[in-house]
Amino acid sequence: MALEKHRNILDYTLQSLLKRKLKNIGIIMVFTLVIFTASSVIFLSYSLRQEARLLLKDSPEIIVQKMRAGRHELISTLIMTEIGQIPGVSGVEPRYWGYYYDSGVKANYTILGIGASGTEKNRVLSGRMPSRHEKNIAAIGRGIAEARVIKKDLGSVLYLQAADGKWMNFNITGVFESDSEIMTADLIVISEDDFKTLVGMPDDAATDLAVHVSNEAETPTIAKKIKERFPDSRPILRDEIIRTYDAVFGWRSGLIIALFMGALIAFIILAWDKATGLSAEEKQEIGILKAIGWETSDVLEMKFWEGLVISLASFMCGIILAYIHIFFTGASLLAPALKGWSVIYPEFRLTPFIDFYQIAILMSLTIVPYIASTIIPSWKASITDPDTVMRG
Amino acid sequence: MIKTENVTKYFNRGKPDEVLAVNDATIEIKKGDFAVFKGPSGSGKTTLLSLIGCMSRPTSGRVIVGDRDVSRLPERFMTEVRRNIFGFIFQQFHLIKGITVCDNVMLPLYPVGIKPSKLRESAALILNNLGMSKRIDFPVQRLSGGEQQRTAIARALINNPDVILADEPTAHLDTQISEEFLTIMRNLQQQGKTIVIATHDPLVYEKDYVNLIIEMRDGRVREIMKN
Ligand SMILES: Nc1ncnc2c1ncn2[C@@H]1O[C@H](COP(=O)(O)OP(=O)(O)OP(=O)(O)O)[C@@H](O)[C@H]1O
Ligand SMILES: [Mg+2]
Repeated sequence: MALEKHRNILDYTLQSLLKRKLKNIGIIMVFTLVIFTASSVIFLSYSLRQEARLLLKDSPEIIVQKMRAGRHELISTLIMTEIGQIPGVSGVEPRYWGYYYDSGVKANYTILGIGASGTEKNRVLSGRMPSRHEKNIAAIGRGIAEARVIKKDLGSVLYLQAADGKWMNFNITGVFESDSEIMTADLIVISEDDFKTLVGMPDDAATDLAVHVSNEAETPTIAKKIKERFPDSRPILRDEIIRTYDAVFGWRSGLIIALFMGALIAFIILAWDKATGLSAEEKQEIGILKAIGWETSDVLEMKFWEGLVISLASFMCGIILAYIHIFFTGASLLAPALKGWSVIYPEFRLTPFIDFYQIAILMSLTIVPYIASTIIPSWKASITDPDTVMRG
Repeated sequence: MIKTENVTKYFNRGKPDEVLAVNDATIEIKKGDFAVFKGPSGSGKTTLLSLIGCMSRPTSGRVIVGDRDVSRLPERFMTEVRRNIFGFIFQQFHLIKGITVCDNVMLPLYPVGIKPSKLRESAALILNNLGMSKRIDFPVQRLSGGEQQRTAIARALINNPDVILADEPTAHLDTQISEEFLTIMRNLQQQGKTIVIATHDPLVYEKDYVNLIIEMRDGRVREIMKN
């Protein structure tokens, strides 16, 4: 009995929705656009953040850079021994990296010289990496392969211009097939020796130093000691880097949030329009239903279904479109604003990470107010005496 | 069956546009009556009809349906009385546009929780009896005036009410269709239903089977004629 009642009311609601097809499709389209924009931003920034975290997971607890006049300079590897003697430090190693501007494709690459150990080894690679002293060999990201129209086939050759103006050639022995595309797409890994030649770096220098700590809780203390002993150094904690990533992605998504706000305003206008006025036709329909024996609660149930059907349909459409947009088309609409410094992500594909918590919040911020804005004016109309329908 | 005792209805009480629509009305309608509220425009016929039909509440006085005082019932119970006892036929028909004849007729019973197939069966039966079998799945906005009214009658009958209330049922119809309407009402009366019609159409109140005429003027009951 009771179930039949709700089914009947739902049936009637669907009939009513079909009756005002054009209007309701319009509402669903606006609503879908809002959800699409919002969830695209959420999906994208969340998975970028996840990727950054994933990569930083294996990075050293402390990175020591040398600063001169606020500028990052090459650091001497001679201080490594002294840092290694600080209690709590389990290892120190030099890192070699830099950016390379390729005027041919107008893009920056990240170049990494592989050292004694190197965290780069964790990355998913087909083929192999150069070793520390191996010359003229490189492993590259997929993005570079495509930008440079180098065949992904191993054995192709990459040319880079060194600091002294000479061209160096590298045999491609590996291509990253990373699941964390954003960090490896523009990456070139060469040997430590080649790196030094390429950028014209003295033998006892490094870009910075990676310091490993045996007990993570001691990290801040050790960083302080390093700073005391080498006043021109800047120890960077891994936690700080993670926070910076968060901030950067947060800031970038801010741009999109501005865009999203536009859509949200459209949504609010839509909801407001619904909340403030029922059309004369809708009012009359409520009056008729009440006059022929519907209770206020029945009318409200119908309006609840109406709001739920519309907002749920829009929500599903918006989420699914956003999912396709972010994870299948590589965020083609948002990418220009959100991506990193590099412009070569021809096949930018993100691993789907979904933050259900954020989706739930988005859901409650859109579906709930929409249903409320459908029900409240109807409630006002349905508690008045139905005799008004007898005139008019 | 239905009684009003000193019923008064104000609209917009205490405001500049205050209207005294029904003033101290005391009437009684018995089961099986064919009653007519008659009187000029604005005399309070529609208001009185909606008061006895539990569509609005009196400002003062009592409305008794069966043996219950319905004038102070909470809204839930008002609805229940309305649904169980009355069938309404409105002047403008007030069908819901965009859905079919059958759906319109079934509509009052949707919240009762009867299977749609069962509902459809009873709606079809009533529509058949009214000569509307060919129009069951027609969208209502394409019906003629007379067909619309028969749909409205069918909707009023779907809950098998004891009392049929009709407000100016012949106002929009030509003589022939008005006569048809009255014949249907007469048949229903003969089946034991109580008929109450508000009208100023002589075609209605001059029928010999109308056995109760309540004449209104400026909200007051001026004369009650029984035969
Ligand atoms: N909701 C309302 N608010 C204010 N005044 C109302 C309202 N409903 C009716 N009235 C007034 O109450 C008076 C009686 O109206 P009612 O509709 O009952 O008259 P009626 O006899 O049915 O007239 P008609 O023959 O024109 O249908 C009229 O003056 C009308 O303007
Ligand atoms: Mg009237």
